Amino acid sequence: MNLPILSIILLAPLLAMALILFVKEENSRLIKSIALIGSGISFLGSIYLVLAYDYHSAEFRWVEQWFEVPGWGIQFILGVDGLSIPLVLLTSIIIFSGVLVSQNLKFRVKEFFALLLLLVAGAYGVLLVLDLFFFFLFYELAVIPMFLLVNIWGTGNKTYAANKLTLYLLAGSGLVLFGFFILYFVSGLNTFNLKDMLELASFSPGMQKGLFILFLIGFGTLSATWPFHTWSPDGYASAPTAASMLHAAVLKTLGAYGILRVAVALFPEGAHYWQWLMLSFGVINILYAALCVIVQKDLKYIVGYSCVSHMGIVMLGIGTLTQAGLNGAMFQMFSHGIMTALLFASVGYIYEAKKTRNLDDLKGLFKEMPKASTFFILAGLTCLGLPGLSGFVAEFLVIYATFSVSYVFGSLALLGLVLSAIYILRILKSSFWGVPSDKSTAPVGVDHNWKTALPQYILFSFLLLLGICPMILIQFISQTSIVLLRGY
Amino acid sequence: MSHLALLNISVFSNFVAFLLITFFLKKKEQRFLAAKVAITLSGLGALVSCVLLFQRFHLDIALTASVTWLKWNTGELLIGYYLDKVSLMMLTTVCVISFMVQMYSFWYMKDDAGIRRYYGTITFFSWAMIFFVVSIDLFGSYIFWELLGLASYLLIGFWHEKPEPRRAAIKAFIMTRFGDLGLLAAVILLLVKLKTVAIPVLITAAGTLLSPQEVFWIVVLLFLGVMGKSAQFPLHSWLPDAMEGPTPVSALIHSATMVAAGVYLLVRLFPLIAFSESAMTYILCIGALTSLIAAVMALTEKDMKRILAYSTVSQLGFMVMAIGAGAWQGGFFHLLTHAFFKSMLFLLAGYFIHMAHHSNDIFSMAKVSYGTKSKLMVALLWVGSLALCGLFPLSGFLSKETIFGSLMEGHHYGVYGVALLISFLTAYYTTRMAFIVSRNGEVVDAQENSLPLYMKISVSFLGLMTLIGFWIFLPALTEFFHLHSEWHAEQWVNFFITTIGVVLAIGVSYFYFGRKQATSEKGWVSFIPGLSGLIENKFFVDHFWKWVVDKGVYRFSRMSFWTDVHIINVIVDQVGLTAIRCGKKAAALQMGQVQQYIITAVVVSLFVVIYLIFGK
Repeated sequence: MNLPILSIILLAPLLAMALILFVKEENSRLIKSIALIGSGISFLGSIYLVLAYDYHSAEFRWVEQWFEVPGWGIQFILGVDGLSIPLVLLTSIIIFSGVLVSQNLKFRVKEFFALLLLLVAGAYGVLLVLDLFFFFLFYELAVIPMFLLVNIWGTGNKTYAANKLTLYLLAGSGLVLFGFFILYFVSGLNTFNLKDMLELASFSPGMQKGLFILFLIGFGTLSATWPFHTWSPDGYASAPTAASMLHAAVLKTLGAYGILRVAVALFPEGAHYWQWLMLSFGVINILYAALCVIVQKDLKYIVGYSCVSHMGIVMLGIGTLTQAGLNGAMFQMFSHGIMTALLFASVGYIYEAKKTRNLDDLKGLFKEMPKASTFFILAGLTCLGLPGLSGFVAEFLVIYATFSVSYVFGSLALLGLVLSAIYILRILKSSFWGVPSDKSTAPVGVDHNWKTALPQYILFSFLLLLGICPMILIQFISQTSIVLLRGY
Repeated sequence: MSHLALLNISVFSNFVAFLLITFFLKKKEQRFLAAKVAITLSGLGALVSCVLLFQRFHLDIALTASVTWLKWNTGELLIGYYLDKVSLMMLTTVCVISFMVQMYSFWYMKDDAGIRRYYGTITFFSWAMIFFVVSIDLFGSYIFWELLGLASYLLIGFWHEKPEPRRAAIKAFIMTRFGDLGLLAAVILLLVKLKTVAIPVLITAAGTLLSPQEVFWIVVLLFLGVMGKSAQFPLHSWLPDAMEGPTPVSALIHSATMVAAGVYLLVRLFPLIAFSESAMTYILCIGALTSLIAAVMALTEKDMKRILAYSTVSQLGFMVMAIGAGAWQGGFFHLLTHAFFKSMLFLLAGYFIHMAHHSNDIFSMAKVSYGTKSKLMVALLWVGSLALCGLFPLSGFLSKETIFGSLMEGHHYGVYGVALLISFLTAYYTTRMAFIVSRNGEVVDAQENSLPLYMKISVSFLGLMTLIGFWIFLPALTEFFHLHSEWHAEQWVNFFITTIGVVLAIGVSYFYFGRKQATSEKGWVSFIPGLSGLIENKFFVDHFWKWVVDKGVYRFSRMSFWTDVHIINVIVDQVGLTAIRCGKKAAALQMGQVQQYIITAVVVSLFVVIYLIFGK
């Protein structure tokens, strides 16, 4: 069967977007159905990828070449391997549940879904293309809709947040673009084709060190590495639910994906040279952001900062440069994506019902909205690294790998486990347990029906599945991490 | 049926109940059905575990079964069973006590609206505990260890409408989590060094593969986990607070099973621990200190559940001390006997609290007039209390005597002295409680209606185990625990010393609290200057932890967030504002509409792409 499966995944949301543009604004049910079908097709496509992938080899599979720009070394070439397939699946899960979560939207429905689909098409593009030029182009394609989504459908200090988020991400991607150009010229291959570059290019040690730090900072900004992280809590606090789900789960992960795909794969010596920096970034992210969460009052800020804290685990795992560490980092990219999406989805639902996200105004939520609270609690338990849920597997692997590299960093990373327990339990204590207060001005919340709970069920089932049978995902990434570490 | 199948049944029967309750028995009117399903299935598990005990106890080969859970180039983790004599005895104990407590709970919780949630959580707990006991891999143990923590958190905070249970639950979770870091670090270090943490490997080969220095650090870290879970000083203070949970929960989790998990882990890994002399000494000291401090704390306590909680901490410390002195058989034996009589005492506490109109105060219980229907309960209270004192011929005597015997044989005379002091204090405060509670007051209580049979059965069964149960199994246990089948002079000396100590303590207790005209509340403690104050302030342990959280964690949190807002953000904003100022200089190009920027950007990039494709 020679179905151009990757093209289908990439084009389905774009096509759905184009269709939506022709539908009248009033016909919001049709718009929502089109969005659902478009993202559903990509979802099915990525499930097919997962099932059909042969994880014993680490080759790029389903390679499709659309066209190339002769003389410039630019090719539109698609392909996936064990590193990108889980992330493609992640993107599909998130956009599908993101569209489901937004079914109640009433304000400028048409534009909202069009932008959301454009955003996700950008994310798919980054994951699927094997050409650095289009990699960059697709990344930019994903950043711009986010600006509008925050600015139009956001809440709170949204203009500030949108500007901050966009400027940061553009600055980060600017560094990345700069790096791509250097790569283009220095590699001597005059090509943007990543596949060729991985096979043929070699760089002098000095060049490796310089380029590695450039990409580390550039991509690091995209994945909210300290001290370039402050766009993240502000941005997510203001963004509408589906947008923050998609951005926190997928676009942030793309930063880490870039580090692995480009920096770690191409510059082994650079990676060794900057290993201490990656480990430090990782540990600082984990501890610093977790400490910041403890004093937050706004549920969305809590999720935003905890998201930054969890990206530290990814960075730490990459920094170990061992197979266990990379496995853990990639596992965390997936698990963190699902978990954060679930957190944002629950907080979004609670906010819609109670019109407040302030911890002090919420009390006794578990009594009032047991189902909605249960989802938040379960996601929170993933967040604090409870065994049986996916977050634990990633944290365990990363901390194990860190210990095998350095006891100091390992012990510091362990402390993150207590801090996350403190902040999650603190939220549960102040907002979820207890009885609803009589003085509260917030409206009485309506609990989930099966329709509104569906996206949460989908997300949680993945957390549970991977927590119980981690090998499902590990077998995809384990071969890839061996290939990534070939030059080490 | 094969033994593996039987083991599967006893491990998963509680889990099946948990699944049924969580997913199928969700309606309010099904709440009693949910409870009955839980009781039936855990009863099945208990029965099967007893069958296993009788069929396997004479076998010397352990039953193993495992699957790979996670694998990478330098390590492998397993999930599975390792059933040798140690885990077999523990398995049966846990299954049986869990069943008894669940049966009792039906009486205790039947008027509570949350009974479904209660049974859902307690079956989950039982499953995790049972799997912990038979886990083949230390990593698997860690997984269930953490799940136990979650279940404990949910059950302590079961009545989450009230503020105290919420506070106690969070305290329990965070404190044990802090200890768990040590356990996790130990697991990881073992993995780094040995590439596996399978328990059979650890207890046979690990000591020879590691240097004593490495063993020392690993054991110290591991013991940190034990300190959290088994409430050893200074991580013990969550356990008395955990009494905010429903009383049957205290009986199951915070006396007989979960808090014993730490001690069990030490027993399980004893061959590894024994490789480091200094680690053993460390364990010995912490155990002795814990045991002594907790016993002192119990001296003047008025809350019956807290007295029992302190005595649990003290007894756990006693077991840890025994293991630290090398007497692991004694420690483990005491763990088993203690599990039965302590869970019974808690269940009885539930009854007396019920009689005293939901007051935990022993002096309110003293005011209640106990009639004929309470006779059984009062009698069992005395059985349990005297077993806790370690008086012949109750089960507590057997295990305590084993510990004393080992201490004497090992020439640990200093520890022997400390143990004697602890035993004296224990006998004193336990009988103080029993004397006061069983006083026959004037308030004739209308609540004293006839108790359901199943409730009486559950308590009486535990009473029977305390009275004669262990004597029945004694021939089988003798060899395993290295008990003396014949007593010589040394054993008789030992017997007389300990018994005299206990009897003396009971005498003192009778003098202050047992006599008709006794009015004392604190006994002799008020004569020792400073001691009362120290006990009231709980040895300042809570103050210390509060200081750590307030001055440590919260201060650092505020500092981090302040840095984020006032330093990093300010820099970022300034950079952004500078960019905007520059932009204003180029205002000629500015139209102020983002849409137009995007259109321009898209059009330009389209042109670029077209040029690139077709331009050459």
